[in-house]
Order: sequence, then structure tokens, then C-alpha cells
Amino acid sequence: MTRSRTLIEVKAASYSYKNTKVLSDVNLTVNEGQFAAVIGPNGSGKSTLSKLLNALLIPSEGSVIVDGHSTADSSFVYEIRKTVGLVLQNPDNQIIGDTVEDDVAFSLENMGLLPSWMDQIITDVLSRTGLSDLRFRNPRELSGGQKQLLAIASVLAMKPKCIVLDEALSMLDKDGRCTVLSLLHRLNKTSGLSVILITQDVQDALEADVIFSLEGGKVTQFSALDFPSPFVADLVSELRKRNLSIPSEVVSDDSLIRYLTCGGKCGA
Amino acid sequence: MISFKNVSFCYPSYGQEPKKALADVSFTIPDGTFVGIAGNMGSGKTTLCSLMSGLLKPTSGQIERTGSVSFAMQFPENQLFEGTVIKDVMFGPLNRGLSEKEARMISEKCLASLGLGESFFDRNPLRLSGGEKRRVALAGILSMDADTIILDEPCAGLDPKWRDRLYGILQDLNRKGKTVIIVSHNTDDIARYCRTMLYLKSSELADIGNVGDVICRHEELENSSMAFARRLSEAGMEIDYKKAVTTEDLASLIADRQSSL
Amino acid sequence: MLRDVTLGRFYDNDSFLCRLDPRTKLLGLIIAIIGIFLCSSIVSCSFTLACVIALMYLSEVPLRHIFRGMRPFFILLAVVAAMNIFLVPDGVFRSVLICLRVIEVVLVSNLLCLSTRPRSVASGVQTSLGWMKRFKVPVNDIATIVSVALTFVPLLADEAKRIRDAQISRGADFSKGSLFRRAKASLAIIVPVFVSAIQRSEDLAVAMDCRLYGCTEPTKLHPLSYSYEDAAAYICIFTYLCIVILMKVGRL
Repeated sequence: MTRSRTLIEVKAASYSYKNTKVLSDVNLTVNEGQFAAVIGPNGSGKSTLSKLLNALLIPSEGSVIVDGHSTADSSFVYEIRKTVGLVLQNPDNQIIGDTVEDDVAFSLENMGLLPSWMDQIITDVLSRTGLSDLRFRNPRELSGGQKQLLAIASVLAMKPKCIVLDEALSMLDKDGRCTVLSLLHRLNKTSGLSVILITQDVQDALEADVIFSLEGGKVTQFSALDFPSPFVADLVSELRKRNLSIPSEVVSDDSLIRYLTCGGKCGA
Repeated sequence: MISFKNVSFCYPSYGQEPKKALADVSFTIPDGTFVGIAGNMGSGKTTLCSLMSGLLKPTSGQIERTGSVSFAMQFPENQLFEGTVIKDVMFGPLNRGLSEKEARMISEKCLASLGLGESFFDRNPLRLSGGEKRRVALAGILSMDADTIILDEPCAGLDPKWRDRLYGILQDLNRKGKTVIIVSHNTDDIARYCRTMLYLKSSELADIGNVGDVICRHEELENSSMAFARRLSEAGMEIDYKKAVTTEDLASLIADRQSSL
Repeated sequence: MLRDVTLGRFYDNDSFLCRLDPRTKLLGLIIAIIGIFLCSSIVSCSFTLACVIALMYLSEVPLRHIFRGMRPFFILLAVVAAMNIFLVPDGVFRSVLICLRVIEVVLVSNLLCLSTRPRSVASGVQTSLGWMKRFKVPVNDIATIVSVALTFVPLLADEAKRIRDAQISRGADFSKGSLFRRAKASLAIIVPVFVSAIQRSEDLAVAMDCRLYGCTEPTKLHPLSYSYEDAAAYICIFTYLCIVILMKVGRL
């Protein structure tokens, strides 16, 4: 992969909400075309972080730079929101239109585009998200997964460079998750769209290029290879109970499989 | 005991023809079991729970039920309404006719078991964090002290730490003779904690039986340990991955394999 | 009963009423209601009733759906009827007429909700009130509020149903006890629904902000346009108005 340029840069950002610090001194960088995952438990400030990324909130200290513009600069607010699209957790609460096409059109209408132009963009994003057949359906009748695909389509209509998903998979079942995740990976590969997947579930994050772990308002960076998976931690402790020695540097799925299939004889 | 005999249910739908949410379902859940219900969205899990708890009446078929049932719906934190945590948890016990004092005692016990100490009792439940709200709401269900407890996705959005703790509490209750029925999309949890499993697929009961057997019979139910075992066997380790229903099973399989080498 | 609310529950069919421009339907609704209230005799009430039945036919919505929306109003009707029967001379006759008129008004409003998408209602309001923009009235925002409110009503009704069930499984009883106890019990539904409405609207506000609400003067994907059917509808509306006025003047 070619080294691409920085798209989003969070520099020493802190955010306080009513005197409690939700995020403190957060640093992270996401490049163009990168698939990033942010993992953290309840109340770790994930939602706040997602809102900092598209100027819905402004950091109380430090700065967030999106595509060269600081989010604190109010003259670029719409520019920044066009660049970084946000998909929320509850699919029902972000549907605005009465039909699928109408919902996608909402952002385009707000941008003041001509109807014929909107029509083209809608056709395009619906085919990219696989919703073409549902164009005239009422979004309330769709399944949870389809509703989130629609939310993604509506964001894609703004032609963003990055899409942020704030726990957007957490209310979906296994099928819904798979469809949405595979769409995100496809968009990332074929259109070079950056993706920031904010999640509680480690499994969703394992295919990302880079994983940020958010805990107690602080960020640590991992790659998928060295990210400590809780499943592996469980398994290793069970194996140790059965008198198998596993070196402590084995923390990810891949490294454990490699270690075990070498018969425990070669290094991790 | 809960027993369903050829139960079907249709929602009166507002638009076109009525939607069948559950079709011809029959099974029996004996007292004292720990049951897991799995199935995709729209497969009828929530309808099944509402029928079991008596909130809905079947369109056709019979339901027999002995003992009291309490039902924690999905996102139970949405039902908090009192001004303080303790009052909200006491709502159920008071409705059951307990005295103020008894209700308070059982509520305090339930809150404490979910890690909510005295400092929480007089706080406004609406001002708590998402995880804390969930625990208050679950305490409100546990305080009902029903013979059968049904929980619809109680762990969705809950930290792993509290998820394990909640399952621990449910296991304790189950050991004391309560029937626990839990809906979860997470087949890891079901494999780990439940004994019997119901699998719903497009409004029909696709399978019921011992957890390990049901998971083995349906490819789409594969959980993390089984997926890991499959990857191991693909990478050259000779293990029967279908037997790795839980992490413990998997660890034993690997240990056996390693010692036989 | 909560699920019976018709507000925001659009019945998707391609009927004549469904195809009409929302502006036509809004004006038609206003005139229809004025007409119904002007009528106070048996002859004129039968005329308006006939018109309402004609509209129901044109909407092609199954009757049971139209009448489902009526259930919440039956209590109101019973109270009105009872008051009239006992308090007003010639009460039975008058209360029948009043009930009939209330039923007609509710039916016509139901038909508008059932035959028009919430967003089209908003477009209709926005376009017909467009002239107010000159006086700095935020017409676009008003229209958005109308459509959002209409789409949220069914969601909140479902939510109320769910929360009611949840409280019932915690032993709440909404049908027994004194009026005071029942009022207190209903708080267990009202408070959570209120909280959820606030949460939902916060989410929606974020979603709207993210999708550039208020960026520039918005355009429409489907700009409103009148067809010959609307012309026909306007002729009918004005004929109806004329007949009602004539009957009023002629004391029929």
C-alpha cells in the first residue's frame, strides 16, 4: 500500500463535559484510505471522540485537524462534515425520509443540488450499497442491517473521504453485521474511503489496518497482529491450566494458531 | 414449567396482510433449566419471550405455564422512571404486595449483587451512565423474585466484565432452582452458560436440545471457539473442531492433542 | 389503543387521493372541516357525510384501517354525547348530530394522514407558506418540524406500548385501583416515553447536523407540481364549499 497523506489528525485533544474530563490528551492519526478501529468499554469517551471528528463538538484543549482544516474554525464546518460522515448507533433515530431515496436525498437537498443531479447520485450510492431494489420502500420496513446500509448510503451521498461509525453495528444481528462490515471493507478497498469503526466488540475490529484502544480517556495504538484478543487471553489461561506453556507474547489469534500448529516447538 | 403446543402468533399489522411472527411452535421447558434462545433479527425471538411471559396471547395453539414469570425486555434501561434508583427497583416488589421494608431489603440485595452499593440508592437513575442504568433496570427485574426469569439480550452493549458478572448471578439463581431463559445473538455465551438451546429461524423453531448438539447441527451458529478450532485444523492440527463448543472444550482438545504427540 | 394512532402512518397505495398534491389536500382538509362545522341540519349533515364517504372510497384504504384510527376518539365522543343528552334541550337529536360531525372531522383528518407521506405534508406546508419567508418566518424549519413530528408519532406509540408491557411484567396494573393510583401508574409509561423522545430527538438532531441541515437554501428531490387531477380536485372542493354555503344561507 502506498503511503498516503494524513486525513484526520487529533492532536493532544481533551474534552470535558460538565467538569468531568471525558477525553484527555488524545492523539491519533488516520490516513486517507485507511481502515481504523477504535475499541473501548462503556463510558470510555468513544461517542465524544466520534463527535469531535466532524465538528459536532470542539475539543476543550488541543485540536482536531480534518483534511487540513481545524474543526474549531467555524467557517469550515460544512466542509468538514462533508469530508467526515457519521453513522450513529440506533438506525431508527437517523432515518429522516419516508422512502429510501428520500432519505438519501436529505443531505443533497440541504446542499441545494438540482433534482436531476440528485437522482444520479442516489442511483449511484444505492447501487454501491446494494439497496437499488429498495429505492421506493419505506425505510421503517427494512431490517436493522438494511437500515444501517441506508444510513451509510445517505452519508456516502455527500461524497465523504472518511466515514465514522459510532457503535453502528451494536444493534445488528450476525447477518446484519456481516453485510455492513463487508460493505465497509469493499468501499475501503475499491473507493479508497477511510473508515473509522468505533466499537465495543473486538471481533469487528480485527480486520482493520490499525486499532486504537480507548481506555480511561487515553488512546493506545495497535496493529491487528499485536492486538490482545480477549478470546485468546481466555484460551491461553485455559491451556495453562492444562499444563501447556504458552509464551506471554502470544496475544492474537494468528500468533496463537502459528504457535500451536508448530507443535509448541518453534517460537511465536 | 413452560410448555408450548402448536403455538402460532400473528401481529395485527397496520399495512398489508398480517405478518406471521411465530408458526406452529411446540416445546417444553422443565423447571430449573438454563435455556438459551438464538436466532436472527425478525426470527420471532422477542415474540416468543412475550408469549412465554404472558404479555401476548397466542393466535392459535396452547401455552401452559406454572409459577411466576418476569421478563426483562431488550434495553430494559428504557423503563426507568422513578426519581431514585432504590425506588425504581422497589417498584416491582411493591406491586407484588410486599411491605415497604421487605421490598427495600430485597431491592438493596439485588442492587448490591450487580455492584451498585449504597452510594447509588438515592441517585437519579436517569443521570447514570448507560451501563449503570442497565444494571439498575436488571436489578428491578431480579427483585421480582419470579420462578422463571426471561431476559432478552441483557448483555447487548454491556462491558465484558459486567456480562460475566450478570451470567454469574443468573447461574447462581439457576442453581437455587429458578428457570432462566436468555435470548442472545452471542453463541459463545449460550455455549458457556446454558444447557438447553432453542434455535429460531424465520418464525419457526428450527432446533431444540442440548447446547453443544444444536450448535454443531447448524453451521451459522458457529461461535468463536469453534471458528478458532476450525482455523487450527485448517492450519494442520488434527482436531475435531465440531467438539469445541466452549473455550474449555477447545483447550482440552488442544491439550489432548499436544500430549498425544 | 396506543398503536391505533393514525398520525404518521402512511398507507402506501396509488389511489387518486394518494397521488394528489399535498397542497391540494391541505386546502381540501381545511375547507372540508369548515364545511362540516357550518352544517347543522339533517340535510346538510347528510351531504357532508356523503362527501366524506366519497373521499373514503377515493382513498382505497380498507375500512378497518380508517376506523382503527377512530378508537381513541370514542371516549371523547361518549363524553360529548352524554353532556348533550342531559344538559341541552332536544339533546338526543343534537348529540347525534354533534357526534356525527366530530366523526366526520376525524375521518377526514385520518384520510389526509393515511394518504400523504409525512415529508410531502412538510413540502406542502413549506410551499404554501413560502410567502411568509419575506417576514422572516422560518418556514423551512417549521415544515421540517412538522414532518419529523409526524414520522416520530408511530415510533413513540410503539415505544409506549413496549414500555407498558415492560411495566406490566414488573407487576404494574394499569386497569385497577382508584383514579389517583391509575394516574400514578401511568407515570411509569409517560416518564420513560418522554425520556426516550428526548434521546431520539437528540440523535436525530445529530444526524441532521451531520447531513448538512441548514447548509444553504434547500432544494427538493421531487419539486411539487400540480397535475390535471389536482385541477379536478380544486373544482370539487369549491363546488363543495359553494353547496355548503348555499345550504347555510338557505337554512336547509
